[in-house]
Amino acid sequence: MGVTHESEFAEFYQAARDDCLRAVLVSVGDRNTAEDLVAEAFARAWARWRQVRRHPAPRAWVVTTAFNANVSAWRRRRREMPLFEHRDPGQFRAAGMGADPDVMAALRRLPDRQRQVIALRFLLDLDTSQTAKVLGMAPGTVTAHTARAIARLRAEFIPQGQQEAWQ
Amino acid sequence: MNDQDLKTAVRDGLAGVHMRTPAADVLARGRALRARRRSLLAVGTISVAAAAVTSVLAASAPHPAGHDAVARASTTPSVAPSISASLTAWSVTSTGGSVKVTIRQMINPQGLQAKLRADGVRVVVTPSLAWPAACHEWRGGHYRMGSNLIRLQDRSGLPSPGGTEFVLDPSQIPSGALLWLGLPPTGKPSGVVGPPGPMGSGLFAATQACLNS
Repeated sequence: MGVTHESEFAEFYQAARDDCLRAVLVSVGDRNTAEDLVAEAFARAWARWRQVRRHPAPRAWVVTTAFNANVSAWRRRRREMPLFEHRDPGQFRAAGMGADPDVMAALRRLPDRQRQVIALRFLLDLDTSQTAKVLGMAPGTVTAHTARAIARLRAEFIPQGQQEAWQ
Repeated sequence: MNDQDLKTAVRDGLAGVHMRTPAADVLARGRALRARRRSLLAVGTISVAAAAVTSVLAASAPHPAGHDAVARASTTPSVAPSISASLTAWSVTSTGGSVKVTIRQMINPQGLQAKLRADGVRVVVTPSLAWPAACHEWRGGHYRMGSNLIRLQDRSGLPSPGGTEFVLDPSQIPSGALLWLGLPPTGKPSGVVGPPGPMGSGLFAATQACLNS
Protein backbone atom coordinates (compact mmCIF):
# COMPACT_ATOMS: atom_id res chain seq x y z
CA MET A 1 0.00 0.00 0.00
CA GLY A 2 1.32 3.42 -0.92
CA VAL A 3 2.56 6.32 1.12
CA THR A 4 -0.73 8.17 0.61
CA HIS A 5 -2.71 5.34 2.12
CA GLU A 6 -0.24 5.05 4.98
CA SER A 7 -0.47 8.73 5.85
CA GLU A 8 -4.24 8.54 5.50
CA PHE A 9 -4.38 5.63 7.92
CA ALA A 10 -1.98 7.38 10.30
CA GLU A 11 -4.29 10.40 10.34
CA PHE A 12 -7.27 8.17 10.98
CA TYR A 13 -5.43 6.43 13.83
CA GLN A 14 -4.41 9.76 15.34
CA ALA A 15 -7.95 11.11 15.20
CA ALA A 16 -9.89 8.00 16.21
CA ARG A 17 -7.69 6.07 18.61
CA ASP A 18 -8.73 7.74 21.86
CA ASP A 19 -12.45 7.55 21.14
CA CYS A 20 -12.14 3.91 20.15
CA LEU A 21 -10.10 3.13 23.26
CA ARG A 22 -12.68 4.82 25.49
CA ALA A 23 -15.53 2.93 23.85
CA VAL A 24 -13.77 -0.40 24.31
CA LEU A 25 -12.64 0.46 27.83
CA VAL A 26 -16.26 1.06 28.81
CA SER A 27 -17.06 -2.41 27.54
CA VAL A 28 -14.15 -4.43 28.94
CA GLY A 29 -13.31 -2.39 32.06
CA ASP A 30 -9.57 -3.06 32.00
CA ARG A 31 -7.24 -0.39 30.62
CA ASN A 32 -4.47 -2.67 29.38
CA THR A 33 -6.83 -5.18 27.81
CA ALA A 34 -8.69 -2.38 26.05
CA GLU A 35 -5.44 -0.92 24.75
CA ASP A 36 -4.33 -4.31 23.37
CA LEU A 37 -7.67 -4.98 21.74
CA VAL A 38 -7.87 -1.56 20.12
CA ALA A 39 -4.27 -1.73 18.90
CA GLU A 40 -4.98 -5.14 17.37
CA ALA A 41 -8.20 -3.87 15.80
CA PHE A 42 -6.40 -0.88 14.26
CA ALA A 43 -3.69 -3.21 12.95
CA ARG A 44 -6.39 -5.34 11.30
CA ALA A 45 -7.90 -2.15 9.88
CA TRP A 46 -4.54 -1.24 8.36
CA ALA A 47 -4.12 -4.78 7.01
CA ARG A 48 -7.34 -4.31 5.01
CA TRP A 49 -7.37 -0.56 4.73
CA ARG A 50 -8.72 -0.54 1.17
CA GLN A 51 -11.98 -2.01 2.48
CA VAL A 52 -12.09 -0.27 5.85
CA ARG A 53 -11.51 3.24 4.43
CA ARG A 54 -14.70 2.82 2.39
CA HIS A 55 -16.68 1.63 5.40
CA PRO A 56 -19.48 4.06 6.34
CA ALA A 57 -18.15 4.22 9.92
CA PRO A 58 -14.50 3.11 10.15
CA ARG A 59 -14.37 3.88 13.89
CA ALA A 60 -17.30 1.58 14.45
CA TRP A 61 -15.48 -1.08 12.41
CA VAL A 62 -12.48 -0.80 14.73
CA VAL A 63 -14.57 -0.94 17.88
CA THR A 64 -16.62 -3.88 16.61
CA THR A 65 -13.45 -5.74 15.71
CA ALA A 66 -12.12 -5.05 19.19
CA PHE A 67 -15.41 -6.21 20.76
CA ASN A 68 -15.25 -9.46 18.79
CA ALA A 69 -11.59 -9.99 19.61
CA ASN A 70 -12.55 -9.67 23.22
CA VAL A 71 -14.75 -12.74 23.01
CA SER A 72 -11.77 -14.95 22.37
CA ALA A 73 -9.59 -13.03 24.80
CA TRP A 74 -12.23 -13.52 27.47
CA ARG A 75 -12.39 -17.23 26.79
CA ARG A 76 -8.62 -17.46 26.74
CA ARG A 77 -8.73 -15.96 30.23
CA ARG A 78 -9.20 -19.42 31.72
CA ARG A 79 -5.92 -20.55 30.34
CA GLU A 80 -4.27 -17.31 31.32
CA MET A 81 -5.71 -17.23 34.80
CA PRO A 82 -2.66 -18.82 36.44
CA LEU A 83 -0.72 -15.77 35.33
CA PHE A 84 -3.05 -13.36 37.09
CA GLU A 85 -4.71 -13.10 40.42
CA HIS A 86 -8.39 -13.89 40.28
CA ARG A 87 -10.47 -10.73 40.31
CA ASP A 88 -14.10 -10.28 41.01
CA PRO A 89 -15.65 -9.48 37.60
CA GLY A 90 -17.55 -6.63 39.20
CA GLN A 91 -14.38 -4.99 40.38
CA PHE A 92 -11.99 -2.93 38.34
CA ARG A 93 -9.32 -0.42 39.01
CA ALA A 94 -10.07 3.02 37.63
CA ALA A 95 -6.92 4.41 39.21
CA GLY A 96 -4.20 4.73 36.61
CA MET A 97 -6.54 4.23 33.65
CA GLY A 98 -7.23 7.94 33.28
CA ALA A 99 -10.96 7.62 33.75
CA ASP A 100 -13.17 9.17 36.38
CA PRO A 101 -13.78 6.30 38.83
CA ASP A 102 -17.41 7.33 39.46
CA VAL A 103 -18.24 7.50 35.77
CA MET A 104 -16.54 4.17 35.10
CA ALA A 105 -18.29 2.54 38.04
CA ALA A 106 -21.66 3.78 36.81
CA LEU A 107 -20.98 2.53 33.29
CA ARG A 108 -19.70 -0.82 34.53
CA ARG A 109 -22.92 -1.38 36.45
CA LEU A 110 -24.91 -1.29 33.21
CA PRO A 111 -25.72 -4.59 31.49
CA ASP A 112 -23.31 -5.45 28.63
CA ARG A 113 -25.61 -4.49 25.78
CA GLN A 114 -26.61 -1.17 27.35
CA ARG A 115 -22.94 -0.42 27.95
CA GLN A 116 -22.07 -1.16 24.33
CA VAL A 117 -24.93 0.99 23.09
CA ILE A 118 -23.80 3.89 25.28
CA ALA A 119 -20.20 3.46 24.11
CA LEU A 120 -21.25 3.68 20.47
CA ARG A 121 -23.86 6.42 20.88
CA PHE A 122 -22.02 8.68 23.34
CA LEU A 123 -18.36 8.09 22.54
CA LEU A 124 -18.43 7.41 18.79
CA ASP A 125 -21.47 9.60 18.06
CA LEU A 126 -23.20 6.87 16.06
CA ASP A 127 -26.90 7.30 15.41
CA THR A 128 -29.51 4.66 16.20
CA SER A 129 -29.39 3.10 12.76
CA GLN A 130 -25.58 2.82 12.69
CA THR A 131 -25.51 1.44 16.23
CA ALA A 132 -28.12 -1.14 15.28
CA LYS A 133 -26.04 -2.29 12.33
CA VAL A 134 -22.85 -2.51 14.36
CA LEU A 135 -24.44 -4.50 17.17
CA GLY A 136 -26.65 -6.58 14.90
CA MET A 137 -29.91 -5.60 16.56
CA ALA A 138 -33.08 -3.82 15.51
CA PRO A 139 -33.14 -0.01 15.74
CA GLY A 140 -36.04 -0.27 18.18
CA THR A 141 -33.91 -2.44 20.47
CA VAL A 142 -31.13 0.15 20.36
CA THR A 143 -33.62 2.85 21.30
CA ALA A 144 -34.89 0.77 24.21
CA HIS A 145 -31.36 -0.02 25.45
CA THR A 146 -30.40 3.64 25.14
CA ALA A 147 -33.43 4.81 27.09
CA ARG A 148 -32.85 2.29 29.88
CA ALA A 149 -29.15 3.07 30.06
CA ILE A 150 -29.76 6.80 30.19
CA ALA A 151 -32.32 6.35 32.95
CA ARG A 152 -29.89 4.27 34.99
CA LEU A 153 -26.98 6.62 34.43
CA ARG A 154 -29.10 9.60 35.34
CA ALA A 155 -30.06 7.90 38.57
CA GLU A 156 -26.37 7.18 39.26
CA PHE A 157 -25.13 10.67 38.49
CA ILE A 158 -27.76 12.72 40.22
CA PRO A 159 -27.83 12.51 44.02
CA GLN A 160 -31.14 11.26 45.42
CA GLY A 161 -32.27 14.64 46.76
CA GLN A 162 -31.53 16.48 43.51
CA GLN A 163 -33.16 13.69 41.55
CA GLU A 164 -36.44 14.24 43.34
CA ALA A 165 -36.17 17.97 42.77
CA TRP A 166 -35.34 17.40 39.10
CA GLN A 167 -38.29 15.10 38.65
CA MET B 1 -29.74 16.69 33.62
CA ASN B 2 -30.81 16.24 30.00
CA ASP B 3 -29.42 13.65 27.57
CA GLN B 4 -26.78 16.01 26.24
CA ASP B 5 -25.56 16.82 29.77
CA LEU B 6 -25.35 13.13 30.50
CA LYS B 7 -23.39 12.52 27.31
CA THR B 8 -21.02 15.34 28.23
CA ALA B 9 -20.59 13.90 31.73
CA VAL B 10 -19.69 10.48 30.31
CA ARG B 11 -17.29 11.94 27.76
CA ASP B 12 -15.65 14.19 30.34
CA GLY B 13 -15.27 11.25 32.70
CA LEU B 14 -13.25 9.42 30.06
CA ALA B 15 -11.36 12.41 28.65
CA GLY B 16 -8.19 11.39 30.47
CA VAL B 17 -7.99 8.04 28.66
CA HIS B 18 -5.46 8.12 25.85
CA MET B 19 -4.04 5.44 23.57
CA ARG B 20 -0.35 4.90 24.21
CA THR B 21 0.47 2.52 21.36
CA PRO B 22 2.55 4.33 18.72
CA ALA B 23 1.19 4.42 15.17
CA ALA B 24 4.40 2.77 13.97
CA ASP B 25 3.66 -0.35 16.04
CA VAL B 26 0.14 -0.58 14.64
CA LEU B 27 1.40 -0.15 11.08
CA ALA B 28 4.04 -2.83 11.59
CA ARG B 29 1.55 -5.29 13.02
CA GLY B 30 -0.89 -4.52 10.19
CA ARG B 31 1.80 -5.20 7.61
CA ALA B 32 2.59 -8.52 9.29
CA LEU B 33 -1.09 -9.49 9.24
CA ARG B 34 -1.36 -8.60 5.57
CA ALA B 35 1.77 -10.58 4.71
CA ARG B 36 0.41 -13.56 6.64
CA ARG B 37 -2.89 -13.40 4.80
CA ARG B 38 -1.07 -13.33 1.46
CA SER B 39 1.12 -16.28 2.43
CA LEU B 40 -1.98 -18.20 3.51
CA LEU B 41 -3.55 -17.50 0.15
CA ALA B 42 -0.42 -18.74 -1.57
CA VAL B 43 -0.23 -21.88 0.59
CA GLY B 44 -3.92 -22.50 0.02
CA THR B 45 -3.50 -22.22 -3.72
CA ILE B 46 -0.52 -24.58 -3.68
CA SER B 47 -2.35 -27.05 -1.42
CA VAL B 48 -5.43 -27.05 -3.64
CA ALA B 49 -3.25 -27.57 -6.69
CA ALA B 50 -1.31 -30.36 -4.96
CA ALA B 51 -4.52 -32.03 -3.85
CA ALA B 52 -5.91 -31.82 -7.36
CA VAL B 53 -2.76 -33.34 -8.86
CA THR B 54 -2.73 -36.06 -6.21
CA SER B 55 -6.39 -36.86 -6.83
CA VAL B 56 -5.78 -37.19 -10.54
CA LEU B 57 -2.79 -39.45 -9.93
CA ALA B 58 -4.71 -41.52 -7.41
CA ALA B 59 -7.70 -41.85 -9.70
CA SER B 60 -5.53 -43.02 -12.55
CA ALA B 61 -3.55 -45.51 -10.43
CA PRO B 62 -4.62 -49.11 -10.97
CA HIS B 63 -4.11 -50.09 -7.31
CA PRO B 64 -6.73 -49.05 -4.72
CA ALA B 65 -3.94 -48.24 -2.24
CA GLY B 66 -3.58 -44.91 -4.00
CA HIS B 67 -7.03 -43.92 -2.78
CA ASP B 68 -6.14 -45.02 0.73
CA ALA B 69 -3.06 -42.85 0.75
CA VAL B 70 -5.01 -39.77 -0.31
CA ALA B 71 -7.68 -40.44 2.28
CA ARG B 72 -5.11 -40.77 5.03
CA ALA B 73 -3.45 -37.52 4.08
CA SER B 74 -6.64 -35.53 4.07
CA THR B 75 -8.71 -37.06 6.85
CA THR B 76 -6.21 -38.54 9.29
CA PRO B 77 -3.42 -36.04 9.30
CA SER B 78 -1.60 -37.61 12.25
CA VAL B 79 -0.60 -40.52 10.06
CA ALA B 80 2.49 -39.32 8.26
CA PRO B 81 1.49 -38.99 4.62
CA SER B 82 3.93 -40.02 1.99
CA ILE B 83 2.51 -37.51 -0.47
CA SER B 84 3.44 -34.09 0.82
CA ALA B 85 4.32 -32.57 4.18
CA SER B 86 2.11 -29.60 3.37
CA LEU B 87 -0.94 -31.85 3.62
CA THR B 88 -0.24 -32.71 7.26
CA ALA B 89 -2.78 -30.54 9.01
CA TRP B 90 -1.90 -31.51 12.55
CA SER B 91 0.14 -34.04 14.47
CA VAL B 92 -0.07 -35.52 17.95
CA THR B 93 2.99 -36.99 19.67
CA SER B 94 2.89 -38.67 23.07
CA THR B 95 6.05 -38.81 25.14
CA GLY B 96 6.50 -39.50 28.83
CA GLY B 97 2.92 -38.72 29.80
CA SER B 98 2.73 -35.46 27.86
CA VAL B 99 1.05 -35.00 24.53
CA LYS B 100 2.48 -32.54 22.04
CA VAL B 101 0.02 -31.11 19.52
CA THR B 102 1.09 -29.21 16.43
CA ILE B 103 -1.61 -27.66 14.29
CA ARG B 104 -0.88 -26.21 10.89
CA GLN B 105 -4.40 -26.36 9.49
CA MET B 106 -7.51 -26.85 11.57
CA ILE B 107 -9.25 -29.54 9.58
CA ASN B 108 -10.86 -32.72 10.84
CA PRO B 109 -11.36 -31.63 14.48
CA GLN B 110 -13.16 -34.90 15.24
CA GLY B 111 -10.10 -36.81 14.10
CA LEU B 112 -7.93 -34.70 16.37
CA GLN B 113 -10.31 -35.29 19.26
CA ALA B 114 -10.29 -39.06 18.65
CA LYS B 115 -6.49 -39.14 18.49
CA LEU B 116 -6.13 -37.12 21.70
CA ARG B 117 -8.63 -39.34 23.50
CA ALA B 118 -6.74 -42.40 22.29
CA ASP B 119 -3.64 -40.86 23.85
CA GLY B 120 -5.37 -40.48 27.20
CA VAL B 121 -6.56 -36.87 27.05
CA ARG B 122 -10.16 -36.46 28.22
CA VAL B 123 -11.00 -33.77 25.69
CA VAL B 124 -13.65 -32.19 23.51
CA VAL B 125 -12.39 -30.35 20.43
CA THR B 126 -14.47 -27.78 18.59
CA PRO B 127 -13.53 -25.98 15.38
CA SER B 128 -14.67 -22.66 16.90
CA LEU B 129 -14.39 -20.63 20.08
CA ALA B 130 -17.82 -21.79 21.18
CA TRP B 131 -17.95 -24.80 23.43
CA PRO B 132 -20.70 -27.39 22.87
CA ALA B 133 -24.08 -26.46 24.29
CA ALA B 134 -24.24 -29.80 26.11
CA CYS B 135 -21.12 -28.96 28.14
CA HIS B 136 -21.25 -27.12 31.44
CA GLU B 137 -18.33 -25.36 32.99
CA TRP B 138 -16.60 -27.34 35.66
CA ARG B 139 -17.43 -26.04 39.14
CA GLY B 140 -19.59 -23.38 37.50
CA GLY B 141 -16.48 -21.70 36.13
CA HIS B 142 -14.88 -21.22 39.56
CA TYR B 143 -11.57 -22.93 39.05
CA ARG B 144 -8.02 -22.25 38.04
CA MET B 145 -6.34 -24.33 35.41
CA GLY B 146 -2.97 -25.64 36.41
CA SER B 147 -0.21 -23.89 34.50
CA ASN B 148 1.12 -27.24 33.30
CA LEU B 149 -2.10 -28.50 31.77
CA ILE B 150 -1.52 -26.58 28.54
CA ARG B 151 1.86 -25.15 27.72
CA LEU B 152 1.67 -23.00 24.64
CA GLN B 153 4.52 -22.19 22.36
CA ASP B 154 2.90 -18.83 21.71
CA ARG B 155 1.38 -17.52 24.93
CA SER B 156 -0.51 -14.74 23.20
CA GLY B 157 -2.81 -17.38 21.78
CA LEU B 158 -2.22 -16.09 18.28
CA PRO B 159 -0.87 -18.52 15.73
CA SER B 160 2.77 -18.52 14.82
CA PRO B 161 3.51 -18.52 11.07
CA GLY B 162 4.20 -22.25 11.14
CA GLY B 163 1.06 -23.10 13.09
CA THR B 164 0.21 -23.52 16.74
CA GLU B 165 1.99 -25.88 19.05
CA PHE B 166 1.17 -26.81 22.62
CA VAL B 167 1.91 -29.57 25.09
CA LEU B 168 -0.85 -31.14 27.16
CA ASP B 169 -0.43 -32.96 30.43
CA PRO B 170 -3.51 -35.20 30.79
CA SER B 171 -2.71 -35.90 34.46
CA GLN B 172 -3.47 -32.23 35.20
CA ILE B 173 -7.12 -32.60 34.17
CA PRO B 174 -9.00 -32.87 37.47
CA SER B 175 -11.08 -35.93 38.15
CA GLY B 176 -14.64 -35.34 36.95
CA ALA B 177 -13.56 -32.71 34.45
CA LEU B 178 -12.64 -32.72 30.81
CA LEU B 179 -10.64 -30.31 28.74
CA TRP B 180 -12.26 -28.26 26.00
CA LEU B 181 -10.11 -26.99 23.15
CA GLY B 182 -11.61 -24.45 20.75
CA LEU B 183 -9.48 -24.24 17.63
CA PRO B 184 -11.15 -22.13 14.96
CA PRO B 185 -9.79 -22.18 11.45
CA THR B 186 -8.80 -18.87 9.94
CA GLY B 187 -8.28 -17.76 6.40
CA LYS B 188 -11.67 -16.16 6.04
CA PRO B 189 -12.93 -14.31 4.13
CA SER B 190 -10.67 -15.72 1.45
CA GLY B 191 -11.98 -19.16 2.35
CA VAL B 192 -8.53 -20.61 2.82
CA VAL B 193 -8.22 -22.96 5.74
CA GLY B 194 -5.06 -21.88 7.50
CA PRO B 195 -3.39 -21.99 10.88
CA PRO B 196 -5.88 -21.84 13.72
CA GLY B 197 -6.81 -18.51 15.18
CA PRO B 198 -6.94 -17.60 18.86
CA MET B 199 -7.35 -20.73 20.90
CA GLY B 200 -10.02 -21.27 23.52
CA SER B 201 -9.71 -23.71 26.35
CA GLY B 202 -11.37 -24.51 29.62
CA LEU B 203 -12.50 -27.22 31.97
CA PHE B 204 -15.96 -28.68 31.76
CA ALA B 205 -17.88 -31.31 33.68
CA ALA B 206 -17.04 -34.70 32.21
CA THR B 207 -20.62 -35.73 31.50
CA GLN B 208 -21.54 -38.27 28.85
CA ALA B 209 -23.55 -35.60 27.03
CA CYS B 210 -20.50 -33.36 26.82
CA LEU B 211 -18.23 -36.19 25.73
CA ASN B 212 -20.70 -37.18 23.00
CA SER B 213 -21.27 -33.63 21.78
